[in-house]
Amino acid sequence: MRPSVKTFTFLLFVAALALFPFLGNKFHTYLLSECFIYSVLAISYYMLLGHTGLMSFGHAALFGVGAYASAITLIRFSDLPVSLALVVGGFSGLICGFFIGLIVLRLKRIYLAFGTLALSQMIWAVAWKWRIVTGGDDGMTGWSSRQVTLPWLGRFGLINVTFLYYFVLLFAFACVFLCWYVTRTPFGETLSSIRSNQNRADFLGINVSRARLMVFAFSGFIAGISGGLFILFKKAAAPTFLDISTSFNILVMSVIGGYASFVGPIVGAFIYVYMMEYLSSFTERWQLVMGAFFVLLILFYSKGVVGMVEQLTTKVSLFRGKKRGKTTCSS
Amino acid sequence: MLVLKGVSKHFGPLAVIQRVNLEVTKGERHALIGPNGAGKSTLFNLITGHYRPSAGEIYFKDRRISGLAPHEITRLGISRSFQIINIFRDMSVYQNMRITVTARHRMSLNFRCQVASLGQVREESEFVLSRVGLLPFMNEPAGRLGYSQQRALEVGLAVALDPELLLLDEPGAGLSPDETRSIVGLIKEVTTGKTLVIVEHDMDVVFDLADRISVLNYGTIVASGSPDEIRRNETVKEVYLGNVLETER
Repeated sequence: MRPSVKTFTFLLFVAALALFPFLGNKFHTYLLSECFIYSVLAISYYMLLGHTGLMSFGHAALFGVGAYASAITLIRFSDLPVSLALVVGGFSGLICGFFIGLIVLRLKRIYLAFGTLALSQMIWAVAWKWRIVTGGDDGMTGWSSRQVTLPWLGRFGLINVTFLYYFVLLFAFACVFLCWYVTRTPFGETLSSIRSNQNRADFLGINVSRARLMVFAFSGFIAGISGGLFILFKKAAAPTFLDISTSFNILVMSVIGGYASFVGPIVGAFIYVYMMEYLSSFTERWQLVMGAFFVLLILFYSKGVVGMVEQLTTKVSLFRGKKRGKTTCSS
Repeated sequence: MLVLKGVSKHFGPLAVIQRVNLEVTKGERHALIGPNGAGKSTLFNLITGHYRPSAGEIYFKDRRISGLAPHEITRLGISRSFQIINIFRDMSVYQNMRITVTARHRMSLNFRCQVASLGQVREESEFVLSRVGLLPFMNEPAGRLGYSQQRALEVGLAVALDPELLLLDEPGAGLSPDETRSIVGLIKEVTTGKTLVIVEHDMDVVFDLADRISVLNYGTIVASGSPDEIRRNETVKEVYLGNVLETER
């Protein structure tokens, strides 16, 4: 795609999202809000896996810690604004990410994956057992009646689907933009160099350990915010937010969309949410269908849906070029 | 500038380097030669912090560097190239160089500005790329370059750090005689005035580049001196040069 075409598509996409609640129905508005939240979570995971090459099996811990921290803030400090609870969630995720990153600092590959898995399970156990603070397996509720005051626009309740849509969209957009920005800084390029060849990065005088700690903390911050958004959306926090299945769902989303590209995990999050919704309305065994889709996808398009689309468009443009009798090879 | 005092390295019972003493003075072009498995690359790995010496100490500019991490040693002004090409294969040639130049400016962890907006980094990257002849390929993924171009990039990355001491580990490995000649020309050109330690098997290259040579055999230095002294040295002829000269004949 040419840059101008890309910008145009992007602006069109943004405009469609901004106008959606007026055009689409409530159901899809609600579902898209969920897509945005998962997009933020998936993009926070992209910073680790796709961009830096650090495979974590415990990403749900950062999400869950952000969710619980936001929930606790909302309940204990009912005077604080809702968006501040999200920031608290973000910083809790950041601290959690920092300490997880510190503990697994020297681990690579499968050892890193299982180190993060073990740590996330410990955090899950805390959420499960520390009833006084987290409510244990009952989870936490009690903020669904909260309202947000916007200057000039008035007060909106969190149960207002349209309001929640815009609220989530705004935060999601800010988070995704922040991640995109970071990938284009010198730090972002350093992270790619660690993915590409950590050994050489070391011998260029790059402090790989510090870079890894920073990206774990940053990823935790974004994941924490997505956790905060999720409890506003679900009106509850539960230990399932930070268990293994959530961690693997994040991984599945990333791989479906294409974990190595920036937009891949976002696309994956949308596909995941919609598949989950539609498949589960047809059958209780929806995970079986999703699993089959997942297997087929990684067998034939290991770069996910984004890779698939790229391959197909390349083929189409080659085919068109042949038809016109000239060779255009745009990638 | 670089001093090794009684440096040894054991891997379990295997002694790869034994009590090596070596001194490299500022501005010197020092070649390390010796048969395969003599410990030349291990010595590089010890100097650059990839391995920690089992015994002995390494000093750089009167500062003890043994025990420091590779990135700390690199920041003190020692950079190296690798015998087996070690570049960022899935990134573009330009990105390879840009990562290196930002690292040299201690900006690797900077997340406040866009990397593409750094004019000085771009200029320096393009400058080094033009010197190693890779400017026309700057947007290619580094892994898709031809072998000799990857070699040039390998050397280029080490040079781009603008080190005080440059360690080159077999920069001509796997190259044809023509390609070797061109890379030696390149090394000569980009390393003028720098202190250089080079490991190389090609004796023409060694005698062409070096003003001092140390010969390593079974992990010990058996001789050290000017190219002429080394050529005349009987032990050296026995353990290494004799072999090489005979096979060349």
